[in-house]
Amino acid sequence: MRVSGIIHQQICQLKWHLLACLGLIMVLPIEEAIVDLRAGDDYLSSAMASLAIMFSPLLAGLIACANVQGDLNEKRYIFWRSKPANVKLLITLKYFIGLVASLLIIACPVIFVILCSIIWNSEGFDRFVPLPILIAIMAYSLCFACNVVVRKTARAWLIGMLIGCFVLVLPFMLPLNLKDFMTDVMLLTFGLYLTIILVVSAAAFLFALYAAQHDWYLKTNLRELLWVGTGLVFILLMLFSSQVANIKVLCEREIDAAGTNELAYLGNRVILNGISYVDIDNNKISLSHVAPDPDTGLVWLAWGESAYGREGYIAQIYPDPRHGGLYKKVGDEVYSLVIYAYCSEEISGLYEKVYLRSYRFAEDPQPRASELDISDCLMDRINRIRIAARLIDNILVVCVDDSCIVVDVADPNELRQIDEKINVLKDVRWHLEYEDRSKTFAVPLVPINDINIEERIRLSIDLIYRFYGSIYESSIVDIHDGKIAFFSASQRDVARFDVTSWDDEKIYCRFSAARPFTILEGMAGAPGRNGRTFVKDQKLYCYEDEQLMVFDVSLDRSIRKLGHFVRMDRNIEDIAVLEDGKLLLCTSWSKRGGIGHHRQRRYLYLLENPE
Amino acid sequence: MIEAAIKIEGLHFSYGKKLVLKGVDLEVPKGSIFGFLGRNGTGKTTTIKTLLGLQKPKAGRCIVGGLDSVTKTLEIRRRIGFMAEDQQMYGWMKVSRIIKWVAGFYSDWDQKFADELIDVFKLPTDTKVKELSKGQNSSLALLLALGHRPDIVILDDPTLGLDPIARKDFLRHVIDLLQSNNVTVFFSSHLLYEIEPVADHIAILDKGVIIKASKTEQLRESVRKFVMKPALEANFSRIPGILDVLKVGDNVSVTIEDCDEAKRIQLKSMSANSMTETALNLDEIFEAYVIGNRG
Amino acid sequence: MFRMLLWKEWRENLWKLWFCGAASIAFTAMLFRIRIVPDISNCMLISLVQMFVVPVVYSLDIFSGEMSNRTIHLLFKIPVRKWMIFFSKYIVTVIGILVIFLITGVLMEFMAHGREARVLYLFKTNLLFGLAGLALFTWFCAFGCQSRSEAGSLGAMFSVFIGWGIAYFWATICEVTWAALFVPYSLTELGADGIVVMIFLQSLVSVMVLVIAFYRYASIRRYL
Repeated sequence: MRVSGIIHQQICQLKWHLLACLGLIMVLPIEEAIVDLRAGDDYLSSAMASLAIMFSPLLAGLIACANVQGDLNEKRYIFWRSKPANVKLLITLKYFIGLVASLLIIACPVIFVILCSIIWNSEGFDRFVPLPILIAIMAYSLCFACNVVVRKTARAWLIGMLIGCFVLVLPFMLPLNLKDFMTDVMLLTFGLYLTIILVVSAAAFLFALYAAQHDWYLKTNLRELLWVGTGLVFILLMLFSSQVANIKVLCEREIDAAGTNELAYLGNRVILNGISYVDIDNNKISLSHVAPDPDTGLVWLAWGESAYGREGYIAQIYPDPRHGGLYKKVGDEVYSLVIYAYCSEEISGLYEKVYLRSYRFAEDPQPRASELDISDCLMDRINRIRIAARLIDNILVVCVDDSCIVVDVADPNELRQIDEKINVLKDVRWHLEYEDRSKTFAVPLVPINDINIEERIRLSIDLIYRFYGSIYESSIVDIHDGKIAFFSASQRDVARFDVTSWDDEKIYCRFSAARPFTILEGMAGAPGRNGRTFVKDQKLYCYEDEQLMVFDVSLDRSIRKLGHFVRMDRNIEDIAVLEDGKLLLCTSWSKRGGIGHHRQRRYLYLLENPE
Repeated sequence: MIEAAIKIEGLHFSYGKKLVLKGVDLEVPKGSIFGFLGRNGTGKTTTIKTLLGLQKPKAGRCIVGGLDSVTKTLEIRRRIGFMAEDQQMYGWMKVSRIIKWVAGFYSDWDQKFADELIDVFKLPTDTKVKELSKGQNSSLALLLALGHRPDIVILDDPTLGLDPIARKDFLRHVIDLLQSNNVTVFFSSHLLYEIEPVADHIAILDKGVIIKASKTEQLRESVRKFVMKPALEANFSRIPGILDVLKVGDNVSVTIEDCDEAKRIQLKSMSANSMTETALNLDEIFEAYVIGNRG
Repeated sequence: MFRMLLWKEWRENLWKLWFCGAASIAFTAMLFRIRIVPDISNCMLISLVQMFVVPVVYSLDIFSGEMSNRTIHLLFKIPVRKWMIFFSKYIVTVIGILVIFLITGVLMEFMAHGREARVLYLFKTNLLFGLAGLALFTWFCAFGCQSRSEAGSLGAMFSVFIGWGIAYFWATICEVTWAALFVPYSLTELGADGIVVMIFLQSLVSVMVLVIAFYRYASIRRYL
């Protein structure tokens, strides 16, 4: 066989198709350039060229089909096969000629934009261009192989595109009967996709060679193809929903509420905004008022003092009873514990007094049960004060800035300070960096001897890495079977750090595992540093804005995703884990209801906790 | 004078710049079986499509059953029966269904006749069209063309792809059903041995014009072949009506049309020895007209 | 006679109605059940995909099927006018597209019951996309009524997509107002000012395109 003759014949055969594809791929960039120039602008934008390149896989598929059909269509193949032609050589030449031609066509808008950006000294592409070009190579190979077997242009193109989409999407979706593809199977990187594309392209080429050699012919029926294709897409969607929408919603209820809502625990019950009990009966959410008067509740009963403090002072309150609270039940009486810090109105940032107060929830004109002055913890700082508190049995640990006060709250009517540690949290780094993953690092152990060591470690880690969070109601530390680990979420992943040892002053920690977020999980915005994270009962809960992820952290060095809940139109404000394990979510929803009218609706969700 | 069922006058047709029909003149007598002959690509199907009004001629006109093919195409299609070469029908319909469906388009459809034809052709009515054999397919196409009892039937290479037995069966049906009912049959084919026994009239289309149109019998009578040893100065081109001069060894075979006594004498004078005269079949006549060496 | 042609076209294209209907119902039910995005976003997504896919499925072999299966000879032989053949195909497709969009619209309203304050908003949005899909098919008829194969039909449809893309670009970015008349996608902005006028004008454009399509179809001779 004369190779040069075949190459010439193939190019001549393809020339009109190539010209047509060139026209198709260049029409938008040239049009944009003309419009920009006529408007007096330089050709600054590469949006249309990027768009054209995004569609390059489709055109590559078309060129592949035209390439094969030229010699291998139903009627013409008898002519060709009856000649003494080397099948493998012919197919190989066809493949590579078409591939090179496709790449040259696809390169045209790229070169156009580069030239324009050089001429007008402007920015080039604003998108990642190599990926569609790689996908175009795969699309070309798949359509080439399909056409060799199917011998009908349109159908082969459709089948090739479908297989290409399937191959690209499947790694996102495969559950493989395992809960978490990421942890249980592999990590998703660009390298993996590059491998998939190249392997699939090579496999398609070899398949085409083999099929042509053995004269394979697949009779296709348009109807069956459409059903199969749609079935495949449906299966993909099912897989998708099993990855990102696999927490069952048991109940959804709209509630009357305003402002940011919080759920708080009161014993084994959950309170919404300090006004309503949230009860679950037969997987149905019901609300009942805490106080006999529906207009009042724990919030207002606890709101004994004016939020704005005394005359001449501004008060900072922790926790804000409108959103949640530290509650203690003694017999039938419920008390709320609140810390007030007073700042002078005249000198901003100068805090003069800090009080711990307890309030009794009863129809009492004087609900305040007790008050403890803990102003000794204040240092001379002009800064916004940081306050945190945690109730461990009958001990309340209050942290104000760098100091800790330990209070006995066994009898809320008589608060008693039992210890005071001043400036124990100074010189602390308040967040974890990626460098911390490569070495053992130390965290200060708060010197509070009134609580057991595990709670001390938990408190220390929460204070440092979660000080601004709601440490009074949740923690990022997991303790079970004598092992202690804590978790931190970032834009990229969720990281696990194990506590390896401790001494009187420090806790030594080491990075143990990370579970990266996939692109699919990041579609609603992966929980970053601002996202809220807590651990309860060996499960890690990460939520931010519209999504919640639940991970199993019971095994050593392991973070396995169990479930994912997404609602793109809801903002998750708070989560409570109920006694039976179910999850209660409080969400908001903003919607423009009419001209200039901004409505907010709130919802409570009852979710099944994934196992 | 027998009225013409189909009349074609000065028909010109071109596909783009390529002129296919260059002035076709033809008259098909009523009640005759008319064989329309020509090689592949000479324009037989184009002529038929123009008769049906499916194509507009560049020049000239076609009158079918007294109706102009350009302006009265719908009426023509109502009145005539047409069977295309290798006609495909809707494979998903059952035989009974497609007959019923086509019948709906003809106000004069004779269902009784159609049922008779189903028996004659032995068509399985509950079978889907795509499951029929080629022969059954052709029979069904013929049924659909005849069901409304047309007086003109146009068959464009109807036996294409059929085996010899199926072809014989088909032609027998055509003769049985149509010849006796004074139906005009316009039959296009290049299988001359099939047309010869059935066609009353013949027209040969070559290079865009009708080069011969005549009664079959008359044609067989008038075209003769003479085999002789030529004399030294023999110049056959001087004799009018020479169709073919073929050298066969020392002898020459001369085919001549409109053979009469005068031409016999002329030929005799060019012969060196005795001369033998033979009649030709349609195949040989066609060959002589179309590819004959005119000397 | 027209009824016979309608019956034949309906019967021949029924599988497309089943297929598109089943696929639309399945995807609508799934997306509205998992509710990852708001109902209106689900509605827009499903309607947009339907707007392109349903006309493409119908257009693949509605004209080219007659050519590739060679049944066009039978069709042109029977004594019916060409407009009957053309409009029987067109009407069957219109009915099919409208039925699919109506069913999907009703299903959306049912599944989003109580969540959408605006009355029949999802249904109306979906229906507008349906009208846009009809316009897409009408434009396809003008380009693809003479196509001889599925590939040709697909090519004609892609040409319409590209034409719409260019017109949309002119209408939105270059602000050439009259270009919007040729882009039925602009119909889908429910609540936009002048939507009734836009529907009326685009309908006029579609009617003109339909007439052109019919004349193109009636002039098929070359490929017979």
